[in-house]
Amino acid sequence: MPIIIKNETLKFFVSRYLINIVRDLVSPYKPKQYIRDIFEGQIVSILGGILAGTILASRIENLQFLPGFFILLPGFLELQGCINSTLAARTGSLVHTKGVEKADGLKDYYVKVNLFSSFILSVVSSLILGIFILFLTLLILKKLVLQLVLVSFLSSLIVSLILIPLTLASSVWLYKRGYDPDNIMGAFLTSVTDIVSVIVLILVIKTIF
Amino acid sequence: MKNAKKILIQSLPALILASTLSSLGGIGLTLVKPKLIVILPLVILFPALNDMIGDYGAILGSKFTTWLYRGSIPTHWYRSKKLKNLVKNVLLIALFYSFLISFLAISISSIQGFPLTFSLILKVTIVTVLTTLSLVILLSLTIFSLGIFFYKKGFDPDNILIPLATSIADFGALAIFGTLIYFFF
Repeated sequence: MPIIIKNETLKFFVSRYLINIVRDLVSPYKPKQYIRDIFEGQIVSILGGILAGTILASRIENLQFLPGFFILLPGFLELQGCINSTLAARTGSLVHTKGVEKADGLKDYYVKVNLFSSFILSVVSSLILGIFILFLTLLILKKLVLQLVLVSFLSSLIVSLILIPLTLASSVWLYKRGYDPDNIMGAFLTSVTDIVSVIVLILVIKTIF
Repeated sequence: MKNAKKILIQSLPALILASTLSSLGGIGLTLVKPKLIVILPLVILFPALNDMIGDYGAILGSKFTTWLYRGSIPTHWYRSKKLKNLVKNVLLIALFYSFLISFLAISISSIQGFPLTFSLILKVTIVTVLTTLSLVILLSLTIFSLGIFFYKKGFDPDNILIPLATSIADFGALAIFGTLIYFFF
């Protein structure tokens, strides 16, 4: 049965809500800053997600043969996103409180602590995630795929080697150019983490299988 | 290295919880895998959809706690005009972006040579819109009621609501997305 939208309902919806939202977005005199912020942040995040999805879709015929891949994928993306977001938040606090010179130098104690702990977190949690997915795959799909632990561990290792220095460097770069990394890094990292993680997962699976 | 140990001890449980919950949500995707992999637009939009819903959870949680501490949220939160406006605005933004990601995913699939029909385009759009809107409503209800509950009990909602919101968003998005794919395709 087709869905019929009554003209009056549509008119009411457009006039009451959509016009208000658009007016708030474009008007310099009555801005709802948080709506504008959400809109802008979402564009970057969504474009990154779509790009990651396009890369994933281009190799889906190879990936579908790995049992448990669709259980691993969301957990892996979440893990990498969390590790890099918390690193970005800590780096943001560091550059704001101690100044950019300290954060810029790898010899700084707090920078070393941040790099070291993020790297160890990534490696340890990816191993735990891999083992969890191994059992979940065994339970749901009745298949023992030991390589899942290796895929999770190796991919996390490679992603961390790329993203941890990139997160640190981009936070400092933004701060040096007068931007507040806290406002930008969230959306930037969501996109970059998805893209890098999907590419690395594809390459690691291709190498192992 | 005392600071590194502190970071590891405090972060590891949250990381494990968040990633394992997302993987549990992935079971929903695994169960509909035969349908998912043959419908290219769904694969393309899945990471963007997951990110988007997680972001809305974080936005609702952080705005709610800020207003709660400023004293602008009444005990009966459902009477708050401010919260109603927030949910309304987030729902409209979510609606706009769910149409946008559907459009982008369908366009990219078409460029890649995936055969599209009107029925398929409609189904992909409906699945995306329904997943997003149902999750925003579910997240709002959970965040607001639990936020008030934890606040009354003397907890700091900031420490609980964001991890809770992102976990519900990740798990719920995959579960609802998987269920809708099962019924629609």
